[in-house]
Amino acid sequence: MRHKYLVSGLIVAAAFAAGIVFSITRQNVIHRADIPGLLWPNPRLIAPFKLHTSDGSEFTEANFANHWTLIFFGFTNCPDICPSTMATLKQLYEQWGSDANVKHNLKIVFVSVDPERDDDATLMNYVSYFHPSFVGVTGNEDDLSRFAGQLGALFMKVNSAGIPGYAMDHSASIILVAPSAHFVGIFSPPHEVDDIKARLMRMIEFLSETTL
Amino acid sequence: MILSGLRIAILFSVLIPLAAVACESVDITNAWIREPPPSSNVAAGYFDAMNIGSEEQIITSIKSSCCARVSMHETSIEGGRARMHHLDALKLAPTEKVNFAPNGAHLMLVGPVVPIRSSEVVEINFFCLDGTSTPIEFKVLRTN
Ligand SMILES: [Cu+2]
Repeated sequence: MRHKYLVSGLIVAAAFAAGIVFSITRQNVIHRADIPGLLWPNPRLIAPFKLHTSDGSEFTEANFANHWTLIFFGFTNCPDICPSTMATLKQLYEQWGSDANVKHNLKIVFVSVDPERDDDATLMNYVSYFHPSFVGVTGNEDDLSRFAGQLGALFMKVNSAGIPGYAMDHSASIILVAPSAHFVGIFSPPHEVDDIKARLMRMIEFLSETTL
Repeated sequence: MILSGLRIAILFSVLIPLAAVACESVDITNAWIREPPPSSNVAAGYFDAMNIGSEEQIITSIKSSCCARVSMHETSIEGGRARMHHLDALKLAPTEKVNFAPNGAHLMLVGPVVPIRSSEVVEINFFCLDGTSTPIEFKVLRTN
């Protein structure tokens, strides 16, 4: 008799557990499987850091609040991939702002990994050429390394023929940070405006309905 | 002696005109420079090159009075990281076409001494292995 109860109890428990597992996976799989670049589940919360913007204000994890942030790492003496990515981000930003279906605020941040040559004036000049709302950020080498390291965006000073001084090897990806300061997405090159915009909308839509 | 001197003269008269057209058989089209942000000390030039001749052509150097330094470069992305490499020469087999385009091969223009602003035209010379050259006009375009 007791044995029978135990068995049926186990069956109920097993079915219940299976049902739960089924509903969790279904919910997550449907949402995330087809958004390439979304870092989910368990996105990393960005640890406190201290950099500064080109107008001299502090730039810390608190600056991610109230909007979604796209970050690109580069340096102003980079002639090819940096201006080409910044031009893409400018188009994206303008389309984002003019699309009535988009209700989430977006901020574009360019992080210079070359603080030695990119002083605040140079950096401000550079980012505002692309868009007056874009934010230029830099800091000392250690703080930059720690920040970039958290986003998997390590950079390196290199010597290269044809370049006086040095160049920087740097991440070619665009990084998405949520208002909660979680590192939630990564867009790998090649960067296409329509593709980034479509994925970004879906990522933000999904993450907005979810507790990070 | 006289005969061999004559032979050399004939040889030269045949070779020189041939050599003079060598770099001209490299057809350069869509030549443009991305307008750099005002604070930038570098710019990138792009073009399509096609060898329309019947022999291999090698572009060995690029020169221009526009900038302190001009060279051929290539951006590559390895493990998500972008880096630039120097290209020593550009070899083109007959009918071969090569594109220098954003996020790939580019002319690296360092230290401009003339304004590289939208709607300006910058002359850049392509030098081939045999010493001949061809001047190409690059149009400066703003892309954003
Ligand atoms: Cu380059």
